[in-house]
Amino acid sequence: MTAISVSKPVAVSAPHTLPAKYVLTSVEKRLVGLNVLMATVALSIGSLFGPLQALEFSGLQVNGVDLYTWLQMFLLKSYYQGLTLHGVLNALVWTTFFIVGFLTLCVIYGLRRPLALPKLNWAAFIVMTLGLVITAVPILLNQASVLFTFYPPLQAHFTFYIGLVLVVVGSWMAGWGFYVTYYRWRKANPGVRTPFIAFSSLITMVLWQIATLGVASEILFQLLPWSLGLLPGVDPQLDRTLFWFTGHPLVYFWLLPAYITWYGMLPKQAGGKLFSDSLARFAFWLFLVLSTPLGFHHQYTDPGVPQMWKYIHAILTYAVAFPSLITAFTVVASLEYAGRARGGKGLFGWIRALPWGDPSVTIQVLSGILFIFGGIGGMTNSSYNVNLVVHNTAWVPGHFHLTVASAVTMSFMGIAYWLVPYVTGRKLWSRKLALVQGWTWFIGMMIFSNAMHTLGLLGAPRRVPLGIAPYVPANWEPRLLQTAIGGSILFFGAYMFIFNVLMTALSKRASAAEMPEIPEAEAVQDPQLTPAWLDRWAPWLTAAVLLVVLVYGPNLFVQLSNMANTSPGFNTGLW
Amino acid sequence: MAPEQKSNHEDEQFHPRGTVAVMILFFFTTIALWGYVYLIMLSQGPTTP
Repeated sequence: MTAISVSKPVAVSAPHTLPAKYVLTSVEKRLVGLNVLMATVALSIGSLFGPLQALEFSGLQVNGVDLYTWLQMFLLKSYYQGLTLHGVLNALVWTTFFIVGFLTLCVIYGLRRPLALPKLNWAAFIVMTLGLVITAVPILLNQASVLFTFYPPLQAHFTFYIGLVLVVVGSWMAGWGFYVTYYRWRKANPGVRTPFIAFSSLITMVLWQIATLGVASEILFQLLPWSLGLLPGVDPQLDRTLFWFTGHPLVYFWLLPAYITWYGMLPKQAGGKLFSDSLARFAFWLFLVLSTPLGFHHQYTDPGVPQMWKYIHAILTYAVAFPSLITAFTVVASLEYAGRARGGKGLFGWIRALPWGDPSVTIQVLSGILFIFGGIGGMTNSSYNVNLVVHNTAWVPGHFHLTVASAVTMSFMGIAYWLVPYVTGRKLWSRKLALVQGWTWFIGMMIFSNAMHTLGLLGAPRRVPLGIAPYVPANWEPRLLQTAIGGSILFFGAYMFIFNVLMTALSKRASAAEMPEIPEAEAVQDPQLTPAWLDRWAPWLTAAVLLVVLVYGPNLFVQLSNMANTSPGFNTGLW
Repeated sequence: MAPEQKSNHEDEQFHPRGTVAVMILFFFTTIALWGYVYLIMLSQGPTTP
C-alpha cells in the first residue's frame, strides 16, 4: 500500500506568537459552566419523558399501567405534551446551551485570549435563559404541545414562539462575541493559521447563523403574528420549507461541536495527534457550504415542492456525505496514530491499545461507532424511494437518536467528563461510573435504534401512542418491546451521567495537580503548513451564501408569490 | 514509547493501514445494511388496496 507521507515542519511564513497555554479566568469558567449547567438541567427533565414514550410503545398502557393518566397529577396532560418536552428540552435546549458553552471555551482557549466583548456573551446567556423559561411555561401548561418541529397548523401559545426566538437570538449574540474576539486576534496575528478548535467553533457558529434565518423568518413573519391573532392563517407549505431550511443544518450545528472534539481533542486524549489539519479544515468548510442547501430531502412527500428541486437537494444531500467520510477517515486515522503510539500492533491491534479506561475517550469512541450506523441510515433514507417508505415512520426517530442522541449527546457527555471538573475545580466524582454510563448508553441505543429502524420499515408511524393503537400487527410487537427495553436502559444511562456531574459539582475542590487540562490536540503536521486558502473566509462564505440562494431562491420566490395564509390554527385543545 | 517522544521521522512513516481497513469495512457494511432495508421491504410484499 502506498504510504501517506507527512511533511516535516519547515520554516514557516509567519511566527507562532501564541502562548502554549491559557488558563480561563474564574469568570470565563463560570460563563462556560452556567451554559453547561442549563444544558444538563434541560437534559435531566427531557430525559424523564424518553422512557415514557418507549414504555408506552410496549403496550403497558393497555395492560393496566396507564402512565400518562397517573402523571396527570404532575401537570403532564398527554403523550404529546411529554413528547414535546422530550424533543424541545433534549434536542433543542440541551444541545444549544451545551454548544454555546463549549464553543465559548474553544474560542477563548484556542485563540489564547479573553473574549473581546464579555458583556455581550453574558447578555447572550441571559437572553437564552430567559427564552428557555418563556418557552418552558406554555409547554408545561399544555399550551404548546406542538412537538419540537412545531409544524403549523398546530398552534402554540405565542409565548412559545417568543421564547424560541430569544434562545436563537441569544445564541447569535454569543456568536457575535466570538467574531469580534476573532477579528482582534487576527489583527494581532496576521499570517498565523487560526488554531483549529477556535477556527472550527467559528465555522459552527456561522453555519448556525445562516441556517437559522429560515426558522427566524418562519416564526417572525408567520407563526408569531398568527398566534397573536394578527394573521388569519398561515401557509403550512411555506412554513415547512422555512423550517427545513434550518432543520437539516441544525443537525450539523449539533454535530460540528462533536467533530471539534473528535478532531481537535480526542486525539490528544487518546495519546496521539490529529492526522491531518488540512483535511479537518477542508471538511469544516465543506460542511459550511453544503449543509444548508439540502432541506428538501425532508420534504420529498410535500406536494408543493417540484420534483426538480427535490432532486437537486437529494444530490446535495449525498454531497455532504463527502466531508462526513473525510471526517470518518481523519478521526479514525488519528485514533490509529494514538493506538500505535501506545504500542498497538497489526491491522486492528491499535483499537485495543486505545485508553479504554478513560471514560471521556471511551464514550466518544462509542459515539463514533454508533454514528457509523447513523450515517448509513441517513444515506439510506435520503434516497427518494426508501424515503417514501420510511417517511414519518419510527425509522426517523430511530435515525435521529443515532445522530443527536448518540454522536452528539455522547460526545458532549465525554466532553463534560473533563470540562465540568475543569470549570468547577473539582475532580470527576467517579470515573468508574462514567465508564459504566458510556457503555450503558451505547448498549441501550443499539437496542433502541435497531428496533425503531425496523419498526419504521414495517410501517409503524412515528409520534403515535402505539400502546393504545388498535391496528398494531403481530410483527411489530417484539420490536415495540425492544424499544421499551432500549429506552429504559437509556434512561439509566442519562441519569448516571447527570448524577455523576452533579456529584462532581458538589464534591470538594481538587488540588492543582488533580485538575484536568483542556485537551487540545496537536496536528502531525505544523498547521502553518496548511494551505492558506483553508484559512480564508471570503471564498467559502461566498460559496455558502451563493449555493443557498441558487438552490432555495427560485422555489422560495414561487412559494412566496403564491403564499396563501389560509390555514387556521389547531391549538393544544386537541390533546 | 510515550506519544510525546515520537519523532518526526516516525510521524512521516505513519501509514494508516488500519484506518483504510476500517473504511473498507464501513463500505461493505453500508452496502449490506442498505441491501437489508430492501430485503425487509420486499418481504412485506406488494402494496394492497
